[in-house]
Amino acid sequence: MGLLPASTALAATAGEGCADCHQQMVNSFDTTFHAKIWKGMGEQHGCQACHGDTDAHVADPTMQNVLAYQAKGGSAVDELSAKCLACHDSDTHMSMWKMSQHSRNDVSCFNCHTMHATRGAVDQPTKCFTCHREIKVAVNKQSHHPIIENKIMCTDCHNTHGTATQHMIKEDTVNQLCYQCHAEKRGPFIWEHPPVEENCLICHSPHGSRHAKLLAEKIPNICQDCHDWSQHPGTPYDASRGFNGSSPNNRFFARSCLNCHGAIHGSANFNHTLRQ
Amino acid sequence: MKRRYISLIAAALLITPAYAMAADEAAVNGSVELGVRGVDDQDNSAKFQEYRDLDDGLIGNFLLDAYKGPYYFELQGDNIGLDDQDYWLKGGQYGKFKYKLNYDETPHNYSFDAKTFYSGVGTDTLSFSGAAPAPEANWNSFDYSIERKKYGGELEVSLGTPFFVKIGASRLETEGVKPLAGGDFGGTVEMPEPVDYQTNDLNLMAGYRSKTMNFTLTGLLSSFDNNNLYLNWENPFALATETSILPPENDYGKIGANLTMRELPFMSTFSLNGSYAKLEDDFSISDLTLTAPLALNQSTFDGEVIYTNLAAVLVSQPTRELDSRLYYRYADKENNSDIISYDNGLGTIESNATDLFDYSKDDAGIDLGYKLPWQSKAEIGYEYQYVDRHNRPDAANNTDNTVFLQLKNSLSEYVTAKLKYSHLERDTDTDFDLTGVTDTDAEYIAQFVQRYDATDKSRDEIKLSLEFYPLDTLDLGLDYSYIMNDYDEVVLGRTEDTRHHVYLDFLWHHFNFLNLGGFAGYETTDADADHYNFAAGSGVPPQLADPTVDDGNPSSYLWNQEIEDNFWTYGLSSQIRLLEDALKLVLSWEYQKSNGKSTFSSQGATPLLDLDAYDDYSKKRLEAKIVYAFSKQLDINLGYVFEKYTYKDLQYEGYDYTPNASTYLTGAYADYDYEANIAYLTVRYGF
Repeated sequence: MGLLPASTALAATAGEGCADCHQQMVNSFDTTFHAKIWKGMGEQHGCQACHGDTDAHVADPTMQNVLAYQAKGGSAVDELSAKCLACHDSDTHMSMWKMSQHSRNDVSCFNCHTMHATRGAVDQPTKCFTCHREIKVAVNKQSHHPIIENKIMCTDCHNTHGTATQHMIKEDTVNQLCYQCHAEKRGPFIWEHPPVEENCLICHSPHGSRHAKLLAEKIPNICQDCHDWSQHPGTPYDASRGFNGSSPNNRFFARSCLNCHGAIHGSANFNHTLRQ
Repeated sequence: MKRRYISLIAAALLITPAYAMAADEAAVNGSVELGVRGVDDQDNSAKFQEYRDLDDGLIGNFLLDAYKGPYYFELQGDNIGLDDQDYWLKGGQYGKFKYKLNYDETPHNYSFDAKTFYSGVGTDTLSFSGAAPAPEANWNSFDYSIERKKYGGELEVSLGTPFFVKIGASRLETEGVKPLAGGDFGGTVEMPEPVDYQTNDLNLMAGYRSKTMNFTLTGLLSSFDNNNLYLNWENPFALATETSILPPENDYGKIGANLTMRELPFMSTFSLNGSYAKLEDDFSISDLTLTAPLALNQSTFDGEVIYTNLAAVLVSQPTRELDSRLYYRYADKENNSDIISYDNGLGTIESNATDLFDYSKDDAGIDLGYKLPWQSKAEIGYEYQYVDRHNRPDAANNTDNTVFLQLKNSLSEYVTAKLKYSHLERDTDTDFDLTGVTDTDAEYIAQFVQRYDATDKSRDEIKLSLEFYPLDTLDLGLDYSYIMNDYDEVVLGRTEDTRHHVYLDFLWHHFNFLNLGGFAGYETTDADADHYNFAAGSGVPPQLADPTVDDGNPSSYLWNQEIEDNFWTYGLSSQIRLLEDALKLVLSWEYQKSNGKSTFSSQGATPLLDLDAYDDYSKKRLEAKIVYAFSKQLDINLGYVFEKYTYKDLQYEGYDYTPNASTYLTGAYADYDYEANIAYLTVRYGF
């Protein structure tokens, strides 16, 4: 293994002397994805390509004298991002970086990407969880999308490098995003359920929930919060309505409202009275 | 099992030529991991294997990277031969072209060993012999389970120019059985719905990119096919065949454009996005094997929905201290679907004219950030949103005004702190037409029901985030958030909900010997709702659909429900290097517990009984793994995992397949509890 000897990689720039202190980094430089890409494109770059002029750092080896990619004591986030963007700002997925919530909250490239790794891909979702603690907790709840099973990546739904949308989702609206995997819920239906059509997140918590089906609240409560009506929608369902209660009721036990209402996402039945 | 062996051999065959081809004058690395796994799950719970295939037998993964000159090739396979296997391959020539192929299988197991009196599970016809369902002991067993298989590919060509073209295609196949409701006031039947969907997508993208500008055009064609448009089932209460309608097939097309311009005056970047999408379907009543209701106006349905989106964003940094973001977003759903009408048999014409929903949203805002002394930054923002809805009389339109203030400080190199406060005021207009409706009609209550998703409300939100770096080897983090929604105009519906969330984590490195990490979280939610129990017009004096007056009938009464959810979790993980570069011990422990409770108060004569087990569960997971490296190329992994899940809920406690004379259930979601042990041994060879 090894495309260029370490000394050659450094000799292309004025960075000789880096290996004196950073021998491991220099020796493994050829195995990094950056080195592979540069070599593949016929370019030669050394430490200075990312770390800037190192002369002052060699003379006085403090982090203040070099572009240092680390949270504690590292260089200013703006400077670090600017250095990466010097090459990457025209990438299609990066074009809106400055509009991203990440950029505006002082997240820089190195917070997610390990520049000296052999592959460029970010270790999702682990890396995302280092900041998004509430999401880490959510995706581990009993009802969740298969994120911790590595079947759905954070970047399947979000463009972490910036979009014009809220929460940096990759589609124009939440529903259009969800329909990509749940095409059976697209419709068009003869009978529609307005909140379903407006925003899936009115009823569902997409990262995870303690309630089944990623619901934001338990059935029948989530239904009754909107459907107070004559007869059974306005009826209180208390502990007496369970299997072990004094008056078991199929509007409460097991799947509750869903025991009868099978088309809550919309119905294509010509006859509405059947509710199926 | 046979399939798994075949997959392992196929994977080996795939790697070998790629390795051989790439090995000549190229950089090649990768790994192959093979082993065996034993699983002890006596409960045979679907929840344990919800998205996983955890069976006894062989397991394997592989990874291969090859680079030769300007060309690269990456290949990866996980869970080879199992029902949750996935593979992907990437390659290309740097700066010229790149391609990607992928295949993924994901199971979704809902419930194992469900049972039904029907025959024909998985087909579009469910029937039973005789005049009544067989006794429960003779029911047929089946699994509620779905398998998704997705495969696709993508090719991007730029040939080293600023122009590029990307084309991608994918197919998602979804097959299995999931629970469906059937029945009416005469009786309810839970039954297996056949799932056999295919979604085919074709993506196109073309564009131009330079240092100062990106322009892209995108297109998507997507078709959804369903091999079961209906489910015919024999109603055991009516002793007649009924038809449930399953998701309709549809076609979706979308075009979009994006223009982003950088390096504009005041260090600005401007982006403009627009898209237009059309969703269509068409089917006839005969496609669905339905009998036409009386006076049906047409026997076919043409559905058409148009989505239009526009967004413009301008970010600037006119001075070193000041930055800004201005944005406007517009979203519109236009529903042009057919109006269907018929006589409901009671002499009334029913129509979907009031059910076809469309809306438009205008959303505009400005954020301003200013760098203050002492490594501080203040940010303020304002957002205006207006939503106009058709066929939503309870929320014909609403106006949201949101403001926020955020302060951040990182003066100390040991601490970064961020505090954000935001406030939302929502003003909603209704558009009821209650002409001719009196307070003995059920419809009269509509004006008193305010729905939490769109009704008037105010929301306060506080978020605090702290990152500590007390030592070079120790990171600590803390997040706290408080959210309070006050639905101040509500008569019936949710009146208030409050949330407190706290999260902590840490990571500590002790030289190369120990990595120790941990996290904890606590969430509590309180939601309060007012409701009205009544049967419009019935009894003496007649019950009124007006919760604000006393109709004198004790059968109509107001009641209140307060729901409290508590959730907490913690976890610890460690990596201990027992022998440097040779022996490593990995230990982790995770625990979570959820407690729900619902309390009632009522003006009715009969006290209501609180619900004290409401989505209560606990989940534990322990993993211990020893990794011994014989060399840099060869290591062996020996691991053990213990998982336990306990679920308690009054809606499922004492589960009964035939709880009363008007209900037949199948056991959907009734088998959650499990306790399982997993042991595995793998050998990994890296090259």
